[in-house]
Amino acid sequence: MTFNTNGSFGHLPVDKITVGRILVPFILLVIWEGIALLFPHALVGPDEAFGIIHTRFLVDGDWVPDLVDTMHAVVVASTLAISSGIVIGILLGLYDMLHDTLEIFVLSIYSIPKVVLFPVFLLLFGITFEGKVAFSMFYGVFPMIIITMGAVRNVDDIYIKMSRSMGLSIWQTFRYLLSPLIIVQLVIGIRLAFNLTFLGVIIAELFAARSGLGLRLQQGMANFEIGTTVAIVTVILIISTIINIFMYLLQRVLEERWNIEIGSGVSL
Amino acid sequence: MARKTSDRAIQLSIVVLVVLFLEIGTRVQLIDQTILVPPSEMAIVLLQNMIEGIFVEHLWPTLYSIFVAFLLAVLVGIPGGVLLWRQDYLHRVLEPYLIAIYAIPIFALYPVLIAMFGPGRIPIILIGFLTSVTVIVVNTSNSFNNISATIMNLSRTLRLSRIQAFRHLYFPAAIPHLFTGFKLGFVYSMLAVLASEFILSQTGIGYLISRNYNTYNMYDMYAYILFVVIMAVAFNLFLLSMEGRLQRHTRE
Repeated sequence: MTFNTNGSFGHLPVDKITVGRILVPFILLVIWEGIALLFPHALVGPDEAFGIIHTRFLVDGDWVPDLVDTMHAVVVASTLAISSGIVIGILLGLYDMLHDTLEIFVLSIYSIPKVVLFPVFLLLFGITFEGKVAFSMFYGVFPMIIITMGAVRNVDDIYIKMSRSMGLSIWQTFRYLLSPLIIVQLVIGIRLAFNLTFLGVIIAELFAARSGLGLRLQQGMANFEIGTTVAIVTVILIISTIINIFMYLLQRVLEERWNIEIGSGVSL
Repeated sequence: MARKTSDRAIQLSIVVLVVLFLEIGTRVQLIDQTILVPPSEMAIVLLQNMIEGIFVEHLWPTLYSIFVAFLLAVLVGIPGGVLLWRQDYLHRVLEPYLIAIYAIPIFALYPVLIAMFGPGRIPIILIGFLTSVTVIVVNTSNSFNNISATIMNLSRTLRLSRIQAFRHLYFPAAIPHLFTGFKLGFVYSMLAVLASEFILSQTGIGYLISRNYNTYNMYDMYAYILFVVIMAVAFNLFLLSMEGRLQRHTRE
């Protein structure tokens, strides 16, 4: 563990920034409580929301199968979206011919509000797990492609030429040449793709599902049960924050190992 | 990078081929007509609806919601982003949380907003604003962070005050990247507005698509989907070309 000399509290190994980061959720909780007090008929406060979460998950266990269903779909869909996104992104990044013709399609489809295409998926798949996964994969794959493509194209030409003169196959080029150079961008892309896939699953469940957090959310919204709605949004927030923090720590480990600064500097 | 005519030709032929495939496929029953409708029918129904009035009635609220939400997001987002850029401490504290924002289904707060502000367009505009502003704030702060050190040093060499430096050096240098943020902010605003209309609204194009799906009016539904797709792609291509022009302009 490194001891920072700037902003550290005397002999404590924690610096100002870490303290700040830990404080953020608490500050948000306070703001939330404040708004709930201002609008008592519109919003429930953290205490009631957590009470509902406690009841539904720990006491009744009502929502546990929904959570499992949702996360199952998220894991499957994001694995598919990330892996296919990376593969397609690398192909588009390496081969100019493919890039020049297809980039515009990728960007255009990315700009379409995918929610309006959801009925098409519904017609194709019906209310099934496969449909959920297909739609959210569609949601998450495009940013992955775009970021991977950008990362590969940022690699100096000289490396690409090197790989060609050495006669490397695509797999070898990726494994030995590209990965260290693009891994950093890829991690950002993976985080983003995961988040969007998660959102995609929730949206899919919101509109048409037999189970899942999104379905619970939809029930809450339809019956104007503000407590339920807020509780589900909180659950989603907690899960995604935990996974994101985990991935962020992974990102920092990689940054330190390769001495590169990434932060969140991606525009997508 | 110059766009070769041969690229354009290939892209155009891809589009034509896909449309032809869908058209012939649906007519020949290769693609089930309960799933997809021939593109030509989509276009015809769309034109009919445009002339017959109900479409325009719903188009207007959707469009102005998107634009108002986007403009508000820009007005709030750019100063916010500049603040994030200047306050390094704030930036580093919030850094791990920034990407996580994309996972939040902001439109889930729709009922809450309705309870606060009543039904109507305000909650929808707010949702569009919230979705769009986060993107613009993050992007603005990145734009300024990406200004080359050369320019930063120039301000010191010329002994410019902070306001002068910002106005004459930093802001112009950041414009191309800022524009990317505008493009994204607009797309996200459009996404959020249409999604909200889809879920729980009585007006707007999103609502029309949802209603037609629920009443099995496939032709009308696809007509509106087609419209949204064309509108989104057209806007995106337009903004992309402007972005390209801006970036070529400021090539160092």
